[in-house]
Amino acid sequence: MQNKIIKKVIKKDKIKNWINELMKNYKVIAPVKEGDEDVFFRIIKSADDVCMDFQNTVLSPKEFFFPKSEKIFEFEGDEISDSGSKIGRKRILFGVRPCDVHGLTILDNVYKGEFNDPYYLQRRENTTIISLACSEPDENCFCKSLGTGPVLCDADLIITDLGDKYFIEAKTEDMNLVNFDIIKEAAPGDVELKDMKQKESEDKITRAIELNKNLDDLHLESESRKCLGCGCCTYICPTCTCFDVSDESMISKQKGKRFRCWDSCMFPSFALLAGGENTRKEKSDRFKQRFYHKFKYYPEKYGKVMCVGCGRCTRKCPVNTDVVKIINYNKLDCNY
Amino acid sequence: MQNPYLPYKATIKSVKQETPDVKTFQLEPCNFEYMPGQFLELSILGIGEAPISITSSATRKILEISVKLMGQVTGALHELEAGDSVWIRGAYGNGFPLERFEGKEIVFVGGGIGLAPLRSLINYLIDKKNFKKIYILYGARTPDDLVFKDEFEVWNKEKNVCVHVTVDQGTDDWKGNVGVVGALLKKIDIAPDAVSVVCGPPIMIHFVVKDLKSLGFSDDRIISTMERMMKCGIGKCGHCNIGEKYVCVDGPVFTLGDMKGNREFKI
Repeated sequence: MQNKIIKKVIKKDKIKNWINELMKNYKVIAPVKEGDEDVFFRIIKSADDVCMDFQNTVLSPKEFFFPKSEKIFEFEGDEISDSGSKIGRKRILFGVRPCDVHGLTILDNVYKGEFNDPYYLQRRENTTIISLACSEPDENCFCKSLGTGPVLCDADLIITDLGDKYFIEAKTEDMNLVNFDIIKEAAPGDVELKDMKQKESEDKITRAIELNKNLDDLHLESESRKCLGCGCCTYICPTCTCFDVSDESMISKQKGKRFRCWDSCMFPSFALLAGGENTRKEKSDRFKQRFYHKFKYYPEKYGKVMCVGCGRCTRKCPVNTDVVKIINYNKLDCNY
Repeated sequence: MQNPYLPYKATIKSVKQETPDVKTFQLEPCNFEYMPGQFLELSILGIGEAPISITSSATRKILEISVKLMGQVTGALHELEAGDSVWIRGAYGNGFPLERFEGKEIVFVGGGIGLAPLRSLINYLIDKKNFKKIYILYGARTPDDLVFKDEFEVWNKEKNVCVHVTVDQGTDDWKGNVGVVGALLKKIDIAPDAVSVVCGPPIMIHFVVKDLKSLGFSDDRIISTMERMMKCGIGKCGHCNIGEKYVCVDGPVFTLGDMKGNREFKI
């Protein structure tokens, strides 16, 4: 098939019609406002529920690929059934921010490899991603310094807010997604406007994280003291991949299931051995593990840091632990 | 897509009580391939899953694990008898670097249940006969805590295999050595290019590594198999890393040289 670059536009008041068209063939996951300001990804029942005006969702869409908890198998008596990895209806993840699309590519590296994680990878293959470029980044965003936003990403389609319409672009042609009357070819002026809007968005990001820092030079020990060990940073992180595996059974143990759920390296039990030895006994050991994993071990293995600059951990940390501040300041900086 | 998280059924063929809290289970699975130093994930349905090192050698066409009663899964396993079934997946991990032992003198130093993964390699090397000499230095807390007691004599009868056993605390009828396992190194005359393989509790490894270094063992000739909290066994769940190394896929076998500079490695 001949590759073409899709350059199209859709009027803002037609966006619901587009989503309705997509819902005919796909299960659509999109941002939905809950309460006054919090936006979450939900499987939508109606295009009316979709919120297009938000900075970023409280949680990344990670849970739609790697759920908080999922069944691996069920067992009854002496037999097990692989009930966990069934492929469902084809899905569209709509309106995901570029940083979170990059988050998925970071997860891909972990769940692919010598062993493939079928649960994650099947959902990934089964999902088309439509990204919504940022126009009003948050003050805690630092994606630009990591090359993970606020506009470009590896989504199937990227849409950009042009004021009264959205620009739709893609590297490869998948006409099924845009082949509707309401979606028109972009005019040269639209392309220029899109470039301008994207540049404006980039310019709004002023926070930057320094790369290639020697983590041994940082304040990790002293920063760890105020940490509550709540694990919030790891749960809301679009790139954290750790999980626990447990069995759940009826009292008779004749029937039950095995499931996995998100785990956090910030919890004291994370590295606790059956014999009682804890290989990360101190809170500072656990705090350092998170930084070293994201900014040293993962980059050494995969060539990029395990962070997309979404700023969620900084925004939500109950004691204001700030990843950018920690990475950028060395022990010797007196103005810290 | 193949699902690496699904275990398959294995039958317990026999159970042997090694010590008051260690049992050796012979399992009968189908098509289970493994190499010395690898481990399997053992499930007791409804209880959970735990990584267990393989103690037999595939050269003998059997699969054995020796398990100390430690937690929930091992506790439930200890309740089982011959004929019962368990669930396994694997084998996982890098295993021992077999090419390193060819034609060499090998010093095994084991403490307590730490002899279990070493036994896999010992019996493999004995069957392949491609070594110069094997020393097996083994220690446990008391004579009752020695595992594979019947096998010491069998090993000693092998050509160029020599076993020395010690206990921390003797009993009235104990005629053997008393003292730490590292002291047994003085009883043997080690070749300058000998390779050592160490497994046991952290405190034992700490002192044995010191002893080996003072005897001139370079970091790449001190090999050990490591234990960490582990869930998936296949490099996904994030539990078992020691710094940048994952015990499940990069290990569990490491040389001291592999661990050099690793910020989370302490001995």
